[in-house]
Amino acid sequence: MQVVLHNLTKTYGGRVQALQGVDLTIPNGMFGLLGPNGAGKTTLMRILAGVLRPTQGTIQVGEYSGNTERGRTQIKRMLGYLPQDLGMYPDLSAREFLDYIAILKGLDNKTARRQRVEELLEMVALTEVSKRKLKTFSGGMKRRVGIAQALLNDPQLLIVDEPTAGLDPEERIRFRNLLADLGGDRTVLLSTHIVEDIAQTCQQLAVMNRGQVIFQGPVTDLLRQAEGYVWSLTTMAGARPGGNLTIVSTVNQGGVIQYRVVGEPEEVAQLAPNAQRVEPGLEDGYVWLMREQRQPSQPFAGLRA
Amino acid sequence: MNSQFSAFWGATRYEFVMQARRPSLWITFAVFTALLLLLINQGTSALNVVIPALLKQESLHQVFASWALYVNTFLPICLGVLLAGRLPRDARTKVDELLLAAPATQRARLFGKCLGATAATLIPMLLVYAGGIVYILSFAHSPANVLLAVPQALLAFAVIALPGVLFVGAFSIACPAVIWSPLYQFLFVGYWYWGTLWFHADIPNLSRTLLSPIGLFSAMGIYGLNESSGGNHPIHITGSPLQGVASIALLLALAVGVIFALDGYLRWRQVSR
Repeated sequence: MQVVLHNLTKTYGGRVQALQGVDLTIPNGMFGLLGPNGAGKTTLMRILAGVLRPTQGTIQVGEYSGNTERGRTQIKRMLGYLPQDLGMYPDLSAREFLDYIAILKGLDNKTARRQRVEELLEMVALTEVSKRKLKTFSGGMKRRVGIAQALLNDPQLLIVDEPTAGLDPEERIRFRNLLADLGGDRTVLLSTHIVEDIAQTCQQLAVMNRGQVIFQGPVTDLLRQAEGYVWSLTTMAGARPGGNLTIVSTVNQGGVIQYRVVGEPEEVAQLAPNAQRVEPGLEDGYVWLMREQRQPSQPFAGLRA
Repeated sequence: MNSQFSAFWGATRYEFVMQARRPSLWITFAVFTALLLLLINQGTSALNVVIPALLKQESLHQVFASWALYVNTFLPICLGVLLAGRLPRDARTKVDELLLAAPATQRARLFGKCLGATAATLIPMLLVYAGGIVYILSFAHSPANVLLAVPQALLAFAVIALPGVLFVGAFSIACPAVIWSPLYQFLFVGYWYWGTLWFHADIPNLSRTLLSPIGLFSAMGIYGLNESSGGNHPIHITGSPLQGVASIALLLALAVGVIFALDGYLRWRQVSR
């Protein structure tokens, strides 16, 4: 099932333009949405989930239009949504909360609904604590309840907004694996600013910045853009690469520091002749893309001692 | 349609559960009732003086009606205050996004919220009422009276108190969508005192109209309570049965209308955000 957005615009209070004419096609499978804070990712997802209305533009989810009340209701029937700011009723148990959300999602048959709730509690490993009130749950447990409620109606479109924010590494890996398993026949839109989450699960992605889509396509294309511009160099402690180089990572190895940077070959050749070209990762591709969006902040200044 | 009814019923059930689980619900009613009994149950107003006197003048079901009127004059203060936070709570707990992303209509959820939360908040009020009924029956020594008492008492409550309770419940759910919830609670208590408890004839208020939420017209008109049996109310009004029925219908219609208006307002707010 494909999601097509055309000229999607959202302006808050007549002044703040959160989305500016977004054109995006989201195919079946796992689709990543990357971008810095304030790029418009959450606004886009809220509009797709029917929580917000666009100021302008069209939304097509499969055969349904998201611009009509009827279309929105049909989309919601096949939608699973895990918002960034996940909220729950603290005085309900996990089982009660899932049962309530299931009712609101149209699972009217009591027996089938209860069975589904039990299945999902089992999937997210919360069966043993299902009778405990949600206010006693840790952040990771709440996130698992969150993904369970998103899957109640076996959705064709799953929207997850920053699902691994605040989770410990084990929880993050578990979550990623769960999402990857769900990819299959569904359309899963994963929004995050943790590049690794997308690198591990998505083959297609879009990058947003300041309300616009600045890249969409296969992950490999984003990597290809950065080929030839990613370098590894080693310096003595205190000598930080300067000029117009963008530091992606820094590893302190005692008296020596290893940098991973993106920059023009000519500049690197002058600033760090010992730098070695390396194969770009997704993070490098993202950094290179964002760098290309910005104006250069400083003229070429050489290594800073 | 079936799905929306299920959503309404599910919302009613779970809002009932969440409200009933609040310790503040029980504590508020307990403290308020205790204070009320302490303040009012003295001298010639003491219940053990008033009830035997009423039983001599009126039938048992009229005494029940007086008690329902009495309870509904004071306890809805707690009801209104305790219901005021239910709608803002969805935004405070950040559940509102999940609710908006579900296919169940907002209207079904709002009606469920109003009915479920109000029903839960009604339980302590019913317990106070029931306690009073038992006390009244302790003065009415005929065994036949006791058998008929339960349906008569329930009917008196349903006719006199319930419409006003639903009316107050609907407004207390809806108004905090427009004004800050603690401000609503403050204004509500103030209004209840001015509009319901302060019966000065020279200042117009709802207590003399069919919109009286305490059920004055249904008590006077349908149960035929006269001035002396009206729970010491100084309001000099008489009501016909037709006015009693009209009052019930108006209160219920307004309660439903308020929830429709709330739904409309929230839709407008969502579109204009």
